[in-house]
Amino acid sequence: MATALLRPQGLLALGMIALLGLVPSLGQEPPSKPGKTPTRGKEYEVKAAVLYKLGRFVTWPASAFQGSDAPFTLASVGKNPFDDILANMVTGKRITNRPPRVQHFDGPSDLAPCQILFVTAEALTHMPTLRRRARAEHILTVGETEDFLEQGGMVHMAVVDDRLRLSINVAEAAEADLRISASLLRISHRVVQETVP
Amino acid sequence: MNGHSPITFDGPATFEGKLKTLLVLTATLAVALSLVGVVGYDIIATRKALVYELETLADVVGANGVAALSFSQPEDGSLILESLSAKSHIIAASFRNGQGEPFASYRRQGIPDSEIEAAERSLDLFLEGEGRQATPFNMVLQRPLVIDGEFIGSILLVSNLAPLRQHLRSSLTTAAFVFLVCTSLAWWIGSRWLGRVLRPIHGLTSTAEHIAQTHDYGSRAPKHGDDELGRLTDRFNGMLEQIEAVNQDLARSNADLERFAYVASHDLQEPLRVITSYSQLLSESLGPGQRDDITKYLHYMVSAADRMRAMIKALLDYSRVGSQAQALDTVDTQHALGLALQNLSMALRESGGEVTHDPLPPIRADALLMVQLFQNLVGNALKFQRPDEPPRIHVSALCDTDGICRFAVRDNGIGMDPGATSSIFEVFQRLHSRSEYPGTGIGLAVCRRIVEHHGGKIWVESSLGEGSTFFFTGVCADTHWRPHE
Repeated sequence: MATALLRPQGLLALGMIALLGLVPSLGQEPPSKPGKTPTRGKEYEVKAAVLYKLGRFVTWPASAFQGSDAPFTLASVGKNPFDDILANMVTGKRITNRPPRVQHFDGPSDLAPCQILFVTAEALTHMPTLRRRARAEHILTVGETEDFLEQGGMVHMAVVDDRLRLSINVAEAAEADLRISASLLRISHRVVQETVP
Repeated sequence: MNGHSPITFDGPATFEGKLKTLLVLTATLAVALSLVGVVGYDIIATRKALVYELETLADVVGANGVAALSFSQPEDGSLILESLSAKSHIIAASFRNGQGEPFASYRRQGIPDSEIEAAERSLDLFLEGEGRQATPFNMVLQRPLVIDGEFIGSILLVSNLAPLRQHLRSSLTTAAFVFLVCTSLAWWIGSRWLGRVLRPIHGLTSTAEHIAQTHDYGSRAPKHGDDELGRLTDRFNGMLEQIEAVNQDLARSNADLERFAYVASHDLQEPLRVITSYSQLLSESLGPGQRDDITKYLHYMVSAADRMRAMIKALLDYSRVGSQAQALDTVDTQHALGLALQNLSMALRESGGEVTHDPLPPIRADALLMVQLFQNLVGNALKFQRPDEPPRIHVSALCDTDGICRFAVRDNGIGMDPGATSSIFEVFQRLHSRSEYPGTGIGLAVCRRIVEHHGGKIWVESSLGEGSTFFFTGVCADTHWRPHE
């Protein structure tokens, strides 16, 4: 079942192994905490897949893109946890019918327009700035730290007890003119309807 | 009756009944055909609606489930499918992932797995295919779920055909109700209105029957409306008027004839009686030995006057046959023959003749006229006897299946030329001189009149010197009569 997350055929076997190895450790340790290097790469394969698939369940306003054929940009800010995983995963795919592009930013200062922004634990200190930018530039912010929504993030993802757990702040997304599909909300563990101060 | 009867309609005996049957049959057929069309169309439309509903459900539920499939959340997928429990005809539903493996499924309680598996097996589609399949009891539908051109799985719905059957049941019930109402309505219209439409025909029929029974040509068929039947009634009544007028003419001329007969019997006989009486007086006053030639002339006069009186009387009898209408009765013809022979006893004795007969059937006739008929026929046979042998006369009868009896009176007399056989039944037609065979020349004419009065025919078969056989027909009064019972 979890294999569906790893649709790219080449990664199928890899993904299965990854989850089998990953999941027991996840129950004991929150994924946000770094360390456990042997499983860390596999964990981020799963998260990369979620990140890429999120794009299909969120609607961006047309102004979020620079043109009708502009790419769909997946980005991370802080210390890049994905290495090349994300870039490899989206190769040859399309997201909301646009060619995907993967970018990494070290901090808010070099943040360029993008559609999905993965905020790592290191970048959390810049959250107020990132939040402002996200609202203005229609960026879906995704995080893995436990209090990400309380920090003003939009989507929080975690793997608990062998299961992906999504929490979504619909109101925060709405501030950025982003619409989350009901289908996604249905499978979400927690849906927050109000923005945090 | 007539050999070439038209095509028969084996149904109700009355015209109205036939028309009503035709009306009801036509209405029934029309209603039945249209109901078959309506119900057939209804079934197709309902089936289409079911397919459409299944497609819509698959789209809605599929759209709800894509995230569950994408993010591999089978519990959520099951919950989403669970929402289909509101649709009682969906007996199973499932999501399959991009590899075609079962991802989440829903099964209505109480449905045997074998039924669902059989239904699912019936839809043999490739992984990313879309389609549907109906089994006798179920319908299976598969829709692929695709996002951004990527196939992420499929949804499979299994519905039973209960909505279809339920709809079919209700439309059949409605159809049966409509059918009953229409047929009853047709029957009611037939009963209520056909009688009115056919009233002129009923009027014509009853008038014709009344006239046939009572001979009352003064009655008229009632007229309803100016349509074809109205015109037919007018024509019918017009013909009745003509018949009535002709009848009146006929009655008038009959009355004239009777008056003439009365005049003949009374007024013509009166001068004859005077001539006879005075001739006799004259003969007596002359006395014996006086002028023999005068006596001889007077004798001629008297006998001529007598003969004339006999002829007038015979003519009177002839004209009276049937003029005093007598109701027809069952006549025992053997008895009638017996009475006739009694009246002829003198002639029989004188001629030494002998009359025999077979068993004779009873017929519908006027008894007195039958006696006279036999008397005339037997008397005729006795009269035209051969000088060398005594008359032998035999009376027989034969009945056919139509109830017509043919009587035969056979003699061994002098016979006649076959060419003369038709003229002998005319008044005053004689084949022989009065000196050879005396008589008024009216007896056989009376016979013909009697037979024709009873609706029969009379004829003779004969040849010179071979004797004659007179035949006449009458209506048998006992259709079961057989000659030798």
